[in-house]
Amino acid sequence: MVEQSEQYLLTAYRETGNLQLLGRLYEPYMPLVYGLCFKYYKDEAKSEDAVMQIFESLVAKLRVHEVSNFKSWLYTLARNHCLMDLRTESRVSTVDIEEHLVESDRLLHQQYEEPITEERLALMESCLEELNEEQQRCIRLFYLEQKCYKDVAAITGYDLNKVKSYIQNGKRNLKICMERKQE
Amino acid sequence: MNNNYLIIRIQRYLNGELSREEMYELEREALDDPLLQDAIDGYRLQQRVSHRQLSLLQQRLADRITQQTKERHAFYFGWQRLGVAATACVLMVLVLVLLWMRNHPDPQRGEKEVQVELAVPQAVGIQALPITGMAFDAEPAQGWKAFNAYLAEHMGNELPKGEVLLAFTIDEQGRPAAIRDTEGAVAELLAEAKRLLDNGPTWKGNTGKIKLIFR
Repeated sequence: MVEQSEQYLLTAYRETGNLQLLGRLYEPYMPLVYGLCFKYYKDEAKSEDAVMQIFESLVAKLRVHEVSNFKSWLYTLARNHCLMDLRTESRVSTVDIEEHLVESDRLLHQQYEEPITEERLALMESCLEELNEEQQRCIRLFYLEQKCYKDVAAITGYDLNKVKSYIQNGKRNLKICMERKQE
Repeated sequence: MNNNYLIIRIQRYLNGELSREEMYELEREALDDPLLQDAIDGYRLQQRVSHRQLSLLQQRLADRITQQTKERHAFYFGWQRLGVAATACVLMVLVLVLLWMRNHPDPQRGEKEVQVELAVPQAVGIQALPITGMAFDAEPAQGWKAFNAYLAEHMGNELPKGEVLLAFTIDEQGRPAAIRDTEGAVAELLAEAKRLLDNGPTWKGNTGKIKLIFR
């Protein structure tokens, strides 16, 4: 439903250039985009400006590009905007670029969902064994026992931020491992 | 997905107001949604979710959108003004060119007038007229027209205006001889007239008298 109306707004804006339409499309995402910008800039005023600058680049780009998945496209655009801006300021702050790059790749893989078979479960189990201990513990607690980060941290005694990155990296490694073994 | 609801969830998540299941749910969503993940990271860094700030941002967006219509008007008037200015410039240039043309007659047109005068025989600057009667029976062997053309072609430059009356005899070869001035002409013109006759075409008849008019 949301995606359908987004698709409608995208097409209508591309044809007419009416900013009202683009505003309706962008507004729901502004809080998220602001949060994302703050993550990179760590500055409220700059992040607010960036939210508007990103809107301006939408104004131009969406007249030309045909976008099928607005949310992931917007994510990439917004993140690149912040990173490029920081790079031109040559004030490279503590942004772990590699981690973020992998995160955006994930969106591409998200498109297809394969059915879960016995074979895949066994494959996953064998891949889980290959993860390092921290990642394995966190992944099991999070995905299999459905504990929140806080609980995982409490059970394992790891720092909350560590838990988060163990899960993110563990999930990534798991995916890579499974793709490798399937081939 | 309702994003307003989502932002409240993020706020409550960061404040520790969500149940374990709700926390898990949001964390799970964020793992599959990098935009959400980055937003949560950002708000955690900011240590708060400011709804006032977010509604100010919405206001900015709304202002930006209404600006479009104003901008269009501004552009419209801008183009109109430019058009008026351009027309004024063209008109001014035209007026200047017209004024200039009135004060400076086209030099090419002057040249043309000179050419028209040259085309008329009187314009050559010299003309020979036969004086008949008494015993004067001479005429140019090729006719007066050819003689006048010869004179026009060979006359010297920068001669004063005036007339020369010449009487002469014609020898066996048809050349004018014993050329004499009958009226007391200007020496310069006389010399030129004699030169022209001496070097000129042949004549028929015995004696001749002609008037050369230098204009």
